[in-house]
Amino acid sequence: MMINGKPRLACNTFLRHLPPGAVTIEPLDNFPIERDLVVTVGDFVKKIESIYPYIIPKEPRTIEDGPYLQTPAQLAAYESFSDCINCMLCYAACPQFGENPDFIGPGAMALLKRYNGDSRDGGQQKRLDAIHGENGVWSCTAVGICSEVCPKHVDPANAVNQNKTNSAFDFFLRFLRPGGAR
Amino acid sequence: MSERRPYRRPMNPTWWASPPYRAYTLCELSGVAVAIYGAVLLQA
Repeated sequence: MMINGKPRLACNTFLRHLPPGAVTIEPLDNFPIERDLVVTVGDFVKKIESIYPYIIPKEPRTIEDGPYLQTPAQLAAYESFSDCINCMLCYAACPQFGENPDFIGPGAMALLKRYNGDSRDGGQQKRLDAIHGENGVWSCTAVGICSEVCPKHVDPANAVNQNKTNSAFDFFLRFLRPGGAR
Repeated sequence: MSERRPYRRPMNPTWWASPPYRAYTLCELSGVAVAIYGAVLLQA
């Protein structure tokens, strides 16, 4: 919630960390208010669902195939983004999301990067289609405040920038594919 | 979930001037200087 005007985790903010005097507590910015300090998160959940937040295997596997194995380097490619706890503080801080509630937002972008960076995943193209649009990754103007407020140091701004690179790369790559740009 | 019309608090119109966003605002304002310099170069 908003504590003294800043998005913070209420469970992790102690009075001893705040300046003396009155403490202002408000519901999270940029979200519809359900009642009192409760905000509606249905729209956020839809955005998370829209980026397929699960591993889509490259080929069908059975239990007999055993566990997926990864090298430490393959793990490092996405590990920092997997720390996201969906607290929505980045959404509350993001002025672009405040101006345009349809913007997919930093949290979903970080989660998208987490799964697209996973060596076990084969759904990269499916997810990239979700961020090419008007309310996708290009709505971000790189304010960077999402990374500053993130309590888990996920660095969503970095994820957004990497997604921008991948989106641009994918756009030009389409001209080289059989059938060209559709 | 309630059937009431969702209430979304309006954004502060001067959010760009508040302390956490000042670095971003200054960065964006540097575009004005670049535009002026570009205009000077075009006239030269």
